[in-house]
Amino acid sequence: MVFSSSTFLVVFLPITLLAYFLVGCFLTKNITVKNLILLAASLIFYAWGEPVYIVLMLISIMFNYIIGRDIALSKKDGGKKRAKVLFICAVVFNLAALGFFKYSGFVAENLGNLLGLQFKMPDLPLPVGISFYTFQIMSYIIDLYNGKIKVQKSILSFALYISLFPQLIAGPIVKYKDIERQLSRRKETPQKYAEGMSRFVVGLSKKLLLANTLGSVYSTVQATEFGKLSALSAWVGIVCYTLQIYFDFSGYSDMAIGLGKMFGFEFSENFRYPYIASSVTDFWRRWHISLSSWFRDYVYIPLGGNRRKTPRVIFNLMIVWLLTGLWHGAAWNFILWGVYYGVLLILEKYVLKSKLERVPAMLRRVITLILVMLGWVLFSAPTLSDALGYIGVMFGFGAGLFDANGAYLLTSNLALILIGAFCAAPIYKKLQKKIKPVNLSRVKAAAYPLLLILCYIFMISETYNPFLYFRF
Amino acid sequence: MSKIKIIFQKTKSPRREERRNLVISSLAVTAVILIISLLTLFGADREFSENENRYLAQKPSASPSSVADGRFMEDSEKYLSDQFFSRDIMVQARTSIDIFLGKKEENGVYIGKEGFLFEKPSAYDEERVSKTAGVINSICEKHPKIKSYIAAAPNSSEILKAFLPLNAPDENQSEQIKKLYSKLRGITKIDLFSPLNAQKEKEELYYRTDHHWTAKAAKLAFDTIAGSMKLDLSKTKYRTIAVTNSFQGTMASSSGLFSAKDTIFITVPEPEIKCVASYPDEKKKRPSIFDSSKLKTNSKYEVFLGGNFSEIIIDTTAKSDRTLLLIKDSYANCVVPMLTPYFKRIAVIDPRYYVGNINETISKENVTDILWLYNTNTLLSDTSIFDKLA
Repeated sequence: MVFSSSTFLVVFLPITLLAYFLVGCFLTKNITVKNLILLAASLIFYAWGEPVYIVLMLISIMFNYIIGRDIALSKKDGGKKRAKVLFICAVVFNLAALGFFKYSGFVAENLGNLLGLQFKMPDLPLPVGISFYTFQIMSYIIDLYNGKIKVQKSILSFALYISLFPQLIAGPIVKYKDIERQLSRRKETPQKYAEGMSRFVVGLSKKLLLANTLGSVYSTVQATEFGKLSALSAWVGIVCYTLQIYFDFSGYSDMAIGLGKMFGFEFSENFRYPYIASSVTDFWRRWHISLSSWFRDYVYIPLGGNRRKTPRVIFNLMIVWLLTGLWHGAAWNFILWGVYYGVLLILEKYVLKSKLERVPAMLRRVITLILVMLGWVLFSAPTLSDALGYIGVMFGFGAGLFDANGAYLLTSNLALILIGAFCAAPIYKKLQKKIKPVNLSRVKAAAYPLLLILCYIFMISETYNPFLYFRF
Repeated sequence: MSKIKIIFQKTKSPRREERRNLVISSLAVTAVILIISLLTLFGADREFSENENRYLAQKPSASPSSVADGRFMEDSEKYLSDQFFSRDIMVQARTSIDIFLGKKEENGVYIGKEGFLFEKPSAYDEERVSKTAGVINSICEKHPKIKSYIAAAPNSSEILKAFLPLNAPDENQSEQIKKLYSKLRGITKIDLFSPLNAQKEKEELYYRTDHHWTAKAAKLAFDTIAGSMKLDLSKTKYRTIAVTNSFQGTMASSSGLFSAKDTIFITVPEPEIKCVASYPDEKKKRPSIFDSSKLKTNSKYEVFLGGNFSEIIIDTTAKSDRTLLLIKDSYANCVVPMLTPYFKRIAVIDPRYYVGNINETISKENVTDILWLYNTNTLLSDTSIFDKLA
C-alpha cells in the first residue's frame, strides 16, 4: 500500500488512528496493546501490497530475532567464536535474501554475456521495501554483535521495529539504536500528534501536488526522440525530474516521519534542502541522510574510514559509492551514478578543496546543482546510451538549442517549476524570520486542511479515465 | 470571567499560540480525513459516469485467489477512487487549477482560446503514408473504369490555428496532404483546405468540445466535392436544422473540461430523399440514415449514420444510376445525407472495422464512383487502410 492512495487515506489511516488512539491510548493505555495494534496494522499494510512476500518478511523477522538472541546468549557465556559464527550466518542470510531477490537477474545476465552463455533466472519481482528493511535488520545485528545495543527479547517489539508501516517501504532507514527505547517507552501528546499530522500533510502534498505533476512533464520529454528534442526541452525536462525526485522521496520521508510522530516515535531527518548544497560533499549531507549515515557507520568506518593512508581512503570511498549506486537498483546506470559521485567526492576532498573555497558561494551552489542534475540524467535514463544521448541533447546535439516545443513546455509549466523551486529551497523559512512580527501561525493552521483537500483533488483526478468508444 | 482571562493570557505568547493553532489545525485535518472517509464509504455508489462515459468500479468481493494475487487490492483501490466522494467535482477542480497555473493541455487535448478544445495533430510518417498511398493507388489501378476521388479534410488545429494555445506544437496539415496527394495516381485529388480557410471567419466550422467538423464545414466540403464529381446540384436545395444544443464531445470527455456546450446541426436535401440503411454486420435495416435516439446519449455525434460501422449499404429513392463507394472515417458521416440525391446506392465502408474484400465489394455492387473521405489526422495515423484493404 502506498500513502498516496484511496485505500490508505479512506480506509487504512482512519481505522488505524481510531484503533490506536481509542483502544491503545484512551481505553487501555498499555504499551503492549499499542504495539500490537501497530504491528497488526503494519502487517496488513505490507500484505496489502505484497500478499506473498509478506512470508519472506515474517521469516526474516523470526530468523533474525532468534539469531539475535542466540548471539547475545553466546556472548554472555563467553562463546566468542560461536557468536562470531552466528553473526556471520546472520549477515550472509540477510545479504543473500537481498541479493537473490534484487541482484540475481542482473548478475546472471551480465555473467552470461561475459561468458557467452544464457543463464535462466526466474523473473522475480522485487519485494517492496526489502532494501530498506534489510538495512534496518543489519543495523540491529551488527550493533548487537559489537555490543553497542542490548538484545531485543520481545518478539513483538522486534517485529514492530522491522515492519513499522510509516518507514517500511521507502525509508527513512531507522537504525535500531535510535529507536530502541521508543519501542517500549514513548509518549503520544497532542503537540506531537499535531506536528506529525501537519508533517504528513506536507509530505502528501509534495508527492501528489508537486512530484506527480512535475513527473508527467519529464515523461513527455523522455518520450520524445532525441532528434526532435531541443536543449531547452531537455533542460526543462531534467529540471522537472530533479524537482520530482526530491519531492517524491522527501515527501515520502515527511509522511513517514509525520506518521511516526503521531504514534509517538521520533525518526531522524532524512533530507535537509539538498539543492542548496554548496558542494557535492554537502549535498550528500543533505540527501537521503539515513542511507549515507548507514553506509558510513556500517561500511566506511569498519573499512577504516579516513584514518588510513590516502590510497586506502580512496579505495574505501569508491567501495561505499559503488555500493550506494548498487543499492538504488540492479542496473549499470545506478552503478555508474554511484561511481560518478565517488569520483566527484574524491576530487573535492583531495584536489579541489582549497580551490573551491575561493569560489563565491552562489556559484558553488549553481555548479553543485548542475552536477547533481547530470547525475539524475544517469539515474533516470532507462539505459546508459539513453543517458549519454540525453546529456548530448542538453548541450545542443539534438534539435538545436531552442524551438517552439521547448518554449511551449517551459511556458506551460513555468508556474509549476517556480512553485517547486520555492518549496525545494528554504525560502519560506527565511521569509518567516524576516517578517517575524507578523504571526503566520493562523495562516499555516488554515493551510493544512486546505492542502489535504487539494491532495484529494489531485489524487482523484489522476484516476480520471474517460472511455472513448469512437475511434477517431 | 477568570476562564476568559486565562485564554486571553494564553494567546499572549506567540509560541504558545502557534502551538495551539497547530493542534486545532491537526484536529481539522483529522476531521477532514474522517468525514471524507465516511462520505466515500457510506455514500451511495454510482453505477455509471456520464462524464467519463463508462461504468464505474463496484465493491469487489474477496476470494483466496484474488487476495493472493493482489487483484482484490487493485479492485478495491479502483472501487474507492471511482466511488470517491464528489469525484466529478474533484476532476473539474483539478482542470481549473491546471488552467490557472498556465497549463495548456489536459490529457493530450489542447485547451485553446474561446473554449476551443483541439485534438493534437498527427505527425507525418513517411513509411505509413507511402503504404497508405500504395493501397489507394492499387485499388484505382484495379478498377480503371471507375472514377476515384480523394478528399482529405483539415482538422480544427489547422483551420483554427489562431485559437491554439501560444507556442503549442502543431503541424502544417496543408503541406502534409500535398505530400500525400503527390504520391497518388489515377485519382482526382480534392482540396478541402482552401474552401474551409476562405470561410473560417464567417462560420463555425468545428465544434468546441469535439474533434469533428460541423455540418456547415461539411456542406462547404460537399460543394467542393460535388464540383469535382460533376453532380447536378440545380434541382436540390439544402436545409440546416439544429438537433441538439447540449453536445459535449470527445475533446470534452478526454480533457475533463465540460465548460462549453455545442450545437449539432444537420444538413439535409430538399425535396427529401427516402433512404433505407442496411447494416450487414448487425443484420439490421433502418428506414433512416439518422439515429435520433443517439441524441439522448453521450455520443450525440452518432446521430449521423448511427455511428461508425464496418459497412453500411444505403439505398435511396434518387433518380440516378450511379453507385458510390465511400471509404471513410467519421468525418464523412455528416456528409452522407447531402450525397443521397445523386446516387441510387451508397456503400459506406469504414476500414477500421472492415473485414471483407474491398475489390469483391466493388465488383458486386457495380460501383461507378469511389470517394475517399477522411480527416487528415486519421489519414496520416491510421493503419487500417493498408492493413485491411491491401
